Formats: sequence, structure tokens, C-alpha cells
Amino acid sequence: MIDSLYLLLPLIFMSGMTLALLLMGSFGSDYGGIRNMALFSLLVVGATYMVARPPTGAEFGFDGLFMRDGLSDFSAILILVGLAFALLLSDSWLRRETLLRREFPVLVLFSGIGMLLMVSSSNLMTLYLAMELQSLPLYVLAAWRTRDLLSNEAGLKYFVLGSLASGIMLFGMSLVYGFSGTLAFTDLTLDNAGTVAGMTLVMIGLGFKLSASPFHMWTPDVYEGAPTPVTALFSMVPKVAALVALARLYVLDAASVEMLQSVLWFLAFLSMVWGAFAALGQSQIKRLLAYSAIGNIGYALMGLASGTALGLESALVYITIYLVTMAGVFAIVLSMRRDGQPLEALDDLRGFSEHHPVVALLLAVLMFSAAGIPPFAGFFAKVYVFRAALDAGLIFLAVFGAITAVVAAFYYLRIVRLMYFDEGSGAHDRPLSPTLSFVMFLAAALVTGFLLSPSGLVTVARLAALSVF
Amino acid sequence: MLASLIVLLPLVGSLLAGILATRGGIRAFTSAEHDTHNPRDTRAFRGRDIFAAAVTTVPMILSALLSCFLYLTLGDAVIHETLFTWIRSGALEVSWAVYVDRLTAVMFCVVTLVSAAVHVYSLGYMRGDRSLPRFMCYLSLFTFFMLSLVSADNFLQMFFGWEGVGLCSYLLIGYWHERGAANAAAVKAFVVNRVGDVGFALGIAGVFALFGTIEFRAVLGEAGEHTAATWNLLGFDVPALTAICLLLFVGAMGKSAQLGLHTWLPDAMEGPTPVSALIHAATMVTAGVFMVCRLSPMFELSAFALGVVAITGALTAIFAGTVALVQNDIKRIIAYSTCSQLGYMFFAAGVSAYGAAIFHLTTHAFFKALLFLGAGAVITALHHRQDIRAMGGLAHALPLSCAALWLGSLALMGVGIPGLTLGLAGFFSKDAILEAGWAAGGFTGWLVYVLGLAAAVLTAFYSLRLLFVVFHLPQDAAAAASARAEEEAAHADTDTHEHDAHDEHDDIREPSRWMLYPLGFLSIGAIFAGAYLHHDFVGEHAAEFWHGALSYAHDPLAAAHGHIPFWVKLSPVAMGVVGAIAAVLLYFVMPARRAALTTKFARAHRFLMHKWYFDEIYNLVFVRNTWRAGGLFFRGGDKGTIDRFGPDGASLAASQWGKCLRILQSGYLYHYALAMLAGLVLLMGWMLIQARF
Repeated sequence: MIDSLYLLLPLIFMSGMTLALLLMGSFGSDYGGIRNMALFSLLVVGATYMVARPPTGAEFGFDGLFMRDGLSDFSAILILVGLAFALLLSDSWLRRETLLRREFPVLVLFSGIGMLLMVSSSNLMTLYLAMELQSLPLYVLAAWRTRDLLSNEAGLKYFVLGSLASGIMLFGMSLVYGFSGTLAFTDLTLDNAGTVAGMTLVMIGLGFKLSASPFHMWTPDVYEGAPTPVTALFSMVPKVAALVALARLYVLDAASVEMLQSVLWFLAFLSMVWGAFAALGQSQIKRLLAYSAIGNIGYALMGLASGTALGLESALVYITIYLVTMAGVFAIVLSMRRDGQPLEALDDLRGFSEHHPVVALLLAVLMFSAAGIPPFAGFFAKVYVFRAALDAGLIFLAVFGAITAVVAAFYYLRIVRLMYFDEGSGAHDRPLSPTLSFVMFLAAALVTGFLLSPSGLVTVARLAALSVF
Repeated sequence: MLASLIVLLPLVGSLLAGILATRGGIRAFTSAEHDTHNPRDTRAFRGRDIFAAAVTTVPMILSALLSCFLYLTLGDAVIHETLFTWIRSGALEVSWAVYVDRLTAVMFCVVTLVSAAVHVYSLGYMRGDRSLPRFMCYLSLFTFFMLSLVSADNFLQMFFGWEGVGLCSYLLIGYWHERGAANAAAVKAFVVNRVGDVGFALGIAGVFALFGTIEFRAVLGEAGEHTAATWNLLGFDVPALTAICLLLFVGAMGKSAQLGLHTWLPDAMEGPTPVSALIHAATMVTAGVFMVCRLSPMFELSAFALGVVAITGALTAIFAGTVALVQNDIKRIIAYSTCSQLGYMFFAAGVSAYGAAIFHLTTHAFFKALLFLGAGAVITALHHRQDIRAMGGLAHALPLSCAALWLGSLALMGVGIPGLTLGLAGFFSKDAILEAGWAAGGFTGWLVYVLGLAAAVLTAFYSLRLLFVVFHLPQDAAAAASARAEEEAAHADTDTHEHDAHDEHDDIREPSRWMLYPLGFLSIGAIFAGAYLHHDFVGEHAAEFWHGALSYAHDPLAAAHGHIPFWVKLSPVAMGVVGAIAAVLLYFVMPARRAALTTKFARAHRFLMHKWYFDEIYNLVFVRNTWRAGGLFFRGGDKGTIDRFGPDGASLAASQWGKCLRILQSGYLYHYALAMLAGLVLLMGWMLIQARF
């Protein structure tokens, strides 16, 4: 027990820091200090993950409840980066909206701990606890704007439906335990209908967190109602944790892939279709991004559905590029204001390029990337998942993926059209916060520069993927 | 190195002018909005103009000097520099090379010298034009393409240059893009050239199919081994080499405006006059002749193809000559004359006298450029008026331009003294061509000889008519008025040049020095080029001079050397004299007969005025039917079928699907929960159905 404690060290440090920040907050430290400490702890934990790698393969601790391997490390770093982005992005917006309360970074960190646990859990029990730990702070964050009806509604809807999903998941776990007598991933064998049914239910619960169709219904409402920085957090980080957890359950062994492929197939197919078509008539940027998130999860799931190391690799690459793109997009959305009021309608982007040529260019780059147009990173992300799916013989899925990508390209490019070719709706406020400008530049640069050396990310993702095969 | 430099210098100048000096380029670099109404800006324009002029003209002159140096020092050597491998695909390997033998060296000199002269001339002619840098950029770019065309060592690079000069020609014809007529002419030139280019491209494909390579040396070396090869085409066995040669010749016809594909050349005169001189007289239009000469060893193997080349050339010479008789636009007259002279070159090539063809190409470049630039001087002096009926009696006002045009015309007519080898440039080359026709004998030889002589009469007549009407006869008031009315109607909509009513000739001045120096330079060429070159190009030892660059297998001149009767040498000049006498009679001695003749042969006159109705027939047969077919496909095929069921239909369906899905997103929590459970049931049901244990 003690000898496996070192595996937990980063998490122990992070938990300690989070509790300390909570105390600091109640003793009157200002927001900035807490935010900086939170970022610092993220940095330290990330550095630990980077440096202190498990020597080889997977290492289990606490009697197989917890594990660390290449996949968990990769996703942990990704999650930490996402959290850091989320914290950086939220600052100026929250200040303008007088929502700057000291608990914000603390809650973000708590949720982050849950996510880090999720990607490291090797037992259904750990997984469930970790998922609850990451969800509860998110429910609160969704309702962060306490005096706002929409925000409260978002929090409540997320909470109720999340509880339903948790219940489904828990039911699935009990089925698994009842039929196979174990909860540890390593011991699970899907050799009877009960276990398969149980696993399906667990995956549905994770699908809810991923906002995979048809369990995505909360997504547009919550994205729209939640304060925009929280939406940014939602669209970047929790998906990584849920995707990795789903991947772990899916690729237990060859039999599980064969059994459960149709679940992923189902989720991927519906998500791609729903995300593409339902987004067509949206007029709110955040709702549009919600559907975009659903569609993109569909593509990542398509890569994952192939059930090969290549498939997992492509899904990881996809979600990484998606995360970076979303960081940039939300940096721009968060900076859109007119007369001090935040702008959230697509129409507010009309003629954007006239007054803000640089920001418009950045957004155009990000949109081209999201639409999967070469030479931007989003193109390669799509190429990888399509290749994985075709290699695994998922022709039908790939064909539908291509069709929905075309449909989705419409609404991404529509944003570009609004910005460049439509009559202006007036200038937005200036100046932009330096942090936001930094993030949007960084994201656009990464998305554009990916072309120069795609092998870096791909190699790391491949190592991560191979660690579970 | 030297040869590559010659080719690349114009490109450098073009890029510098195009990137740094054009309005778009400046905006890209300074990110400042340039407003033409801003007075400060005009100063910026002038600075830009000087910059663009310097960076294009100086490299061009350098390139010209290097070309002359190369020509004089080349000797019998062949320079073959491979710059890089361009395409490697299967058996096809194409490199980017500079291949210089005697033929290329001659072309280098012609192209760069005329181009340098035109560059300098443009500085005067285009003064004050709003986008001079763009113009200079195109001119230099054109020169680069032309040089890479003539220095190609394979078909594809030649095709690259071929298309490149076509592009520049298009850009420059439509240079005054505010004018509808210029745009239409540019499009016409492009489209008509496409017809020829299809032939060329098919010819290249045929070469690759037959030889497995498209490198000139390999193809020309092996051509003799493939004389027996045939292709089955629609059930007929076609000799492969003949087919290839004819296809390539179709390309040459397009570029060199030979009968049938000539219609674009007169319209191309909508471009600025320096462009007409450089592209549509001296260089680009001769690319077809160059190509036939470059491939002469291959054409030699197909007597049929050669016959086609010769007869097409001769027919073009006579056709264009007749049309030139009655035209009224000064540039169009010279354009038809160009067409006619190109016909001469082809007919020389067609009777295997390639040296004579290149000789005429060279001399023609000088005197035709001189003619155009002289015409340009007149046009500038008259504030961009081009109708010769609105001119008249300009000899006193414009003595230098008058001299230039006279010199150019005399060179074109081939004035000289047979037997003494004394004469202007055209005398030697035209003489060589007609002698070759006579010496070739046979049906083709005689036919082209007779047609060539007839064309010589026409040449003398229309050249003198032009000179008389513009410079020596008083203006015919009625004709001038109708000419002005026509011109104003044509340019009523879009007019870039100040057509103030300059009815009097009192403010007509000789052009600036920038325009006179090139005229002087080209005059030297028009006087001496023939005398200086004829010994090398078509003399007794021409075969050694060309040193394998041209095929001398059946050269009629070499075979008949020394046996050509004096009357054959005399006949071209005699024919010129006949034409000249006719012109003098009709315009000076009894001008009244002119009108009488016009009314008497009204139908023939109309026939010629309408240029043998080529444009009308093409319009009726091709253009209108293409429009109709296009409309049919557009409305019925594209809009009606593809769009309706394709993009439009799909996007409509997509947005309707989206609407359905959005209805499900009701906002009610219990609907969402229901949807989740429905999904669960569906998924579980599916899992249990397909699970097998």
C-alpha cells in the first residue's frame, strides 16, 4: 500500500494544494493569488507527469485500483494543459461580469483531480468515484452565475441528467460485478450477456460525459446557459478524461473490442450526424459550438471504434487538436464585447474583419482547421481518424463521417463568410485582454504550425496508445 | 551559366517590378491603403514607375548584350545546362534545361534585342499610364517565357514557354481592361490559341507514346527508326509520324496565326502598340515557325505533313495580303501583313528550306517591330487615333516617324538589287524563300512559288497604300469624319484616353527620345540584318553554319545553289515593282479610278473588308453553337439536374433534417431524459440481438 503511494504523488500534491487554496480563499487571499497558485500547481503536477514516468509499461497500485501508464500520463498532461487554458481564459471575462469569486479556481482544480483519477483508474469502482469527483464541481460551475436564470437552469439540467447517467452507470457496474465477480479491468472478461449489458450501460454513462449522441441532449442548453469560461472548460477538458476512460474499457482485450464495437459505432455514427445537422440553423455561437463538440466527439469515437492502436492514437491526436482549437475559439468568443456587454450571437460576427482584421484572421484559421481544410491541423486530425477507421474496415462509418464533415464544413465556413463578406454590425470593444490575445495567437499558431512537424504529436500519441495494447 | 543568365534576367526584372512596384505589391508590403485621389500618391506612383522601368529595362538590355555575345562566341558548340529535374513520373522524366545551339542562339538574339528595344520604347509610349509597373512586369515576364520556350530541350518545357507566352499575350492584349473590346480580344486570343494548344498537347502525347521520351535530342535522333509506325484511328491506319507532325503543326498554326486559326491576331491589336510589336509581330507569333524548324528532322520524314505546312503557309500569305489591301486601322494592316509574312516562313519550312524560314523570321522581327513602333509613334502623335482615313499628310509634321515607316515598309517589300546582293533586310530573306520554292519544284513547290509571288505584289501594294494615305495624301474629310464617328462609337462606353477633338494637326509632335532611339536601333537591323546574315543563314555553307540544328537533308537551296536562273532572283523584286506601280497609279496618278474600282467590285471589296467572312462563319458555326450548348448544359444539366438533386437538393434536405433535430431539442428536462432512455433501450436491444454466446 505504502510502496504504491508514489504513483499517487502528483495527485496528492494537487489535492493538498487545492485544499490549501480553499483555506487561503476563506482567509481572504485575493483571486489573482489563488489563480496563480492554481496555475503553479498545475505546472508542478504536469512537470511531475512529464519527468517521473513509470519505467516500463503499466504500473498498478493499491491492489489494482489505480494505475499509471503511457496513456494515463499523456491524457493527464493534456488535461492539465486544458485546465491551465481554462483558468487563463476565464479571468478577464469573470472580472467584467463581476463573477470573480475565489472558489472558481478551487472548483476547477477539484474537478481536475477527478479527471486525473479517471484516466488512471483501473477498476470500475475507482472510475465511478473519480467521475463523480470531476462532475460535482462542474455542476456547480455551470450554475456559477447564480442570479441568472439560464445559468441556474443549465446547472440544474446538467445535474439531474448527470445523476441519471450516473445511475445508469452504477447499474451497469453492478451488473458487471454480478455476472463476472470482479470490477478490476484486468480481470474482466466479456464472456456472458450480463457483463456485456453491464459494460454497455457503463459506456452509456461515459457517453453522457462525452456528450455523445443520443446522450448529448444536455449539451446545447448547458453550453448556452453556463458562463462562457465554464463552457470553454466543458468543451476542452472533461471530454479527454471520459474518452480515455472509455478507451480503457473498450480495449480490455480482443473479445471486448469485438463485443463492444457496435456501442462505439452507434455513438460515433449518431454523434457525427446529429452534430452536423442540428448545428445548421443555430444562431448562438455557444450553441453552435455545443453541436460542433458533439460532432467532433463523433469523429474521435470513430477513430476509437476501430479498436486498434492506430485507432486510439488517432483519437488522441484528434482530441488534442480539438482541445487546442477550442482554446483559441473560446479565447476569441470571450473577448467579443460591445459596450461592455458580452456578445454571443453569430450575427455579431458580421463584418468582423473590417474592424478586427487580425482576430478575424485567427478565427478564420481556427474555423478552417475545424472544418478540416488543409494545411491546418484539423485536416490531419480527420485524416488520421479516417485512416484508422478504414484500416479497421469501418467503411460505412467513414463514408458517413466524410458526408457529415462536408455538412459541418458549411457552418464553420459560414462564420468565415459572416466575418469577411457580410455587412458590418459595428466594431467590438478594444483592447483585448493580453492573456486572451496570447491564447488565441498560440492556438492559431499551433494549428497552422502543426503542418511543419506532425510527427511530434503523433509519436507521443502512438506511445500512449501502445501502452494499453 | 551565361545562357541561364540570359533566360533568368528578365524573370528577375519581372518579379521585382511585379512584386515591389505594382499597387497590390506595395499594399502588401506597406499595408497602407493607396487612394488614387490622394495627390501625395501620384508622386509615389512616379517613383514606382521609375523603379519598375529600371528593374525591367536594365536586365533586359543586359540580357540582350549577353545574347549577342553568346551568338558571336558560340561557334559550333552546344550548351546544355540542366537546372533541375522538373517531373519524374514512371518512364517520363522531364528536366528543366537551357539548351543552346545555333538556332536557339539566333532566337535569343532576336527575342532579347527586340524586347530590349520595346522595353525602352514603352517608357515613352506608356508614359503617364496608371499601371506602368504592371505593364513592364508583363513585358519582362513574356520575354522570360519566350526565352525558356526557345531554350527548351524537351517538348514539355517548350509547352510551358508556349503557354506562358500565351498567358502574357492574353494579359497584355487585355492590358487596358477598362475597354470592352480589349477584353474581348484577349479572350478571343486565348480561346483560339487553346484550339491550337490541344493539337500541340496531343502531339506531345503522341511523341511520348511513340518514342517513350519527350527529349528533343532523343526524339529527333530516333525519328528515322519510326517511319513505318502506324496508329489505328477509327479504322484507318495512320502513319504515326505524320499524325504527330500534323498535330504539332496545329499548335504552330494557333500560335503563328495561320489560316483558320488566324482570327485572333488582328483583334490582338487592341493591346498597346509596343505589345503588338514585341509579341504579335516579332517574337511570340514566330514560335510556331521556330517549333517546326526545331523539329525539322522529324518533319523531314513526313512529306505529307511538310506539304500541309507549305500550302497552309502560302495560302495564309495570300489571304492575309488580300485582306490587308482594304483595312483602315493602321495596326490591323500591319497585323495582316504579319500574318502574311508568317505564311512565307511556313512555306519556306514546308519546302524544307528551314534556314530561309529562320532567316525571314529574323529579318522580319526587325522590320516588323520597326513598322509597329513607327505606327505607334504616329498613333501617339495623334492621341491614340488609329484609323488611317483620319490621318493624311503627316509627312511634314512627323518626318522621323515617316522615315521609320518608309524604311520598315521598304524592308518588308524586299527592296534591293538582285545580282549585287545589295538591299534591305526583307530583300534577302524573301528572295531566299521564293528561290527555295522554285528550287523545290514539283506541284507543291510551284504552287507556293506562284502564291508567294502574288503575295509579294500584295505586300508592296498595301505597304505603299498605308504610307501614301498616312503621310503623303491630304486628308479626305468625308472619310475622316466617318472614321472618327466609327471610332467614337467603338470606344464610347469606356474611354481611357483623352480623345479631345484634336482635329487640327497643329499640336502633332514627334515622339520623345525614348521612342526614337529604339526606332533608330531597329532601323539599323532592318537595313543591315539581311546583308549581314544571309551568307551564314542561307549561303553555300549554311549546313555547316547550322551544324545540325536544322535539318539539311532536303534543303532545296543547297541542292540548287548556283543553278538558280536570274529571272527567279529577279521575280520577287519585279513583283514588288508591279505592286508599287499599281499603288502609285491608284493613289497618285488616277485616284478617281479607286472609287470606281471599289464600286465595280463592290462584292469583292466587301468580301475583303469582312476578312473573307472568317469571323462571321466562326461566329455562326462555333461561337453561337457553343453558347447554345453551354446554355443547354448550364440550365438543363447543371442547374436543372446536378444542382437540383446535388448541392441544392442536399443542402435543402440537410437544413430540413436540422430543423427536425432541433424540434427534439425542446428544452424540457423530461424530454431529454426520455431521449437518453430511448437511446439506451435502442442500444441495449441492438447489443442483445447481435450478441452471441
